[in-house]
Amino acid sequence: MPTDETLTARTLRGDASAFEQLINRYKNSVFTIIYRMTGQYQEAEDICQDVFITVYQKLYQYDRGKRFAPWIYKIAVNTTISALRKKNKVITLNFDESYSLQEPGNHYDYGDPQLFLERNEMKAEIKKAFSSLPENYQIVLAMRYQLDMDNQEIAEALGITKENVEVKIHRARKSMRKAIIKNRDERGKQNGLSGVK
Amino acid sequence: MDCRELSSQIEDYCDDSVSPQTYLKISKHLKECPTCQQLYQLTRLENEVLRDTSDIPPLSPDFTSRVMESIGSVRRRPGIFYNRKFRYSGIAAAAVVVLILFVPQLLKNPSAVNVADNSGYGNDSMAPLVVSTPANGRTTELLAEKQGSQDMAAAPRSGDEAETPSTSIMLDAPAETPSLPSVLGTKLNSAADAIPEEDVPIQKSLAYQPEQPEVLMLRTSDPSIMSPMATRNGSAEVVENIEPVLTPVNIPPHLQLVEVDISSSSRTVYDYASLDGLAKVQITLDPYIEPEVQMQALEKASTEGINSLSRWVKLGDKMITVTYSGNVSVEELTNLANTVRFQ
Repeated sequence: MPTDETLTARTLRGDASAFEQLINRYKNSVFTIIYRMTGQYQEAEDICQDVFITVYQKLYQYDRGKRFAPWIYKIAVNTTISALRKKNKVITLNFDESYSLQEPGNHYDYGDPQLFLERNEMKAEIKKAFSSLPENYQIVLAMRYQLDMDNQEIAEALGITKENVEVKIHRARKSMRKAIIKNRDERGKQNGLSGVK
Repeated sequence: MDCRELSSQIEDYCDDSVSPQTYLKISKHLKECPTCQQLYQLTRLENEVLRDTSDIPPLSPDFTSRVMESIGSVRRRPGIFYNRKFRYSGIAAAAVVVLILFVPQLLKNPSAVNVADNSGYGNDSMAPLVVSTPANGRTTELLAEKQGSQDMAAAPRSGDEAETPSTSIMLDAPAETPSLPSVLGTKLNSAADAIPEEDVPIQKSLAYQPEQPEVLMLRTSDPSIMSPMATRNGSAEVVENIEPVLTPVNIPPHLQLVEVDISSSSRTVYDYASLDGLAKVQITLDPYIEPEVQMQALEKASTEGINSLSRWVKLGDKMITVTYSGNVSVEELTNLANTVRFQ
């Protein structure tokens, strides 16, 4: 299987089939990122198309000494932000850690998930918590867990440091867990269950 | 290990990305602490949800074909220099520079254009156009002298060259060149009539390429007749990586593109061959290369009937090195260099 770099080189020589392979290789992951950012299918697909057109037009800018995946994901993120801004859908990828997170206490009482929620309900809670996160945290988590990118790749894609990515993932997960506990606490009160201490 | 410590590493533990020792410590703690056991279960469930993409609908089956169709209607690779605003402002600026700098000299001596003086690199600095030839033929002075140049006086020259304070563009052409394939239909008969003064290629180049001002100086591969080394002033940005968008255009129809080698992140090589396959020409785009380094490379390359000619090309605020080489005459390489544009 030809490498990304080989395919980009062939594309630059005018080999359209090489770019077609690149599209097929990356369309689902690129769409995943965009869909996570927009939440709307048609909009995400339109933006996804724009991303690949942009990639084609700017392929000469791709540094073949670096990995292709972070480069295309960076274009995907930036294109999506631009598209959403045009529609006055403000999306802020704030990577300055302005999203404050209160450090949890020394001890949690997570309760027994099986006692107060069925597994699927728990998953729904987690998804809800994920959706409540700021976009920048959602994107970092999506890249990390859904695209299986390592921290360095995420850093390259988002233009931040690897250390910043590590911090962000850690804080994102803490934030998500905090939201889960909060939701569970509320539900626990409704259900008469003991929630978070 | 306490609960807090475990809490900070539980994600890594679930991802199997902790050391074996830490793994054992966490495992031991989990067996003893029901609260952390719940945290562990929650974290695993979180990971499962975070990795779950089942809620993402599939793309349309014809997505790829639609993108390819769209691309077909999109103009290909505009590139950084394609920007209309940039391009036309560049043309205008270059035209003004040419008018201001060259017209007085052309009026004074139409056949002699002192390129180095008008290079845009400052009066005391020159960027080289390097010509290397395989054999030591006689030296042909191509361009008229540069009045008042101080650099040249200090530069090593060949024995029969006068130590004059002038900058001459030197061509060390082989005594015999008929064996070289002709690409442009202008095969050299001899070094003397190869490049007549009225057909100074550099002059032509500058006149024809206002949007692409080139800073030129000829060099030979023989260090003993090298012109002064050039220094670069601070006005041009040194290009670290050649962008493949800088595609040579205006290639003579006799030459066909054989291959583009972009395997190097810093170099792009375009290989051309004549229709009969006899003449082979290579156009190499490099980042700015110091003349010393360039000369060393060319000295190595200047063997076995391969001529080479390098120029520093200033495109907007970028400066790159373009090397033309091949088993053709120096004149043909020079004409090729004067003809080729980059887009």
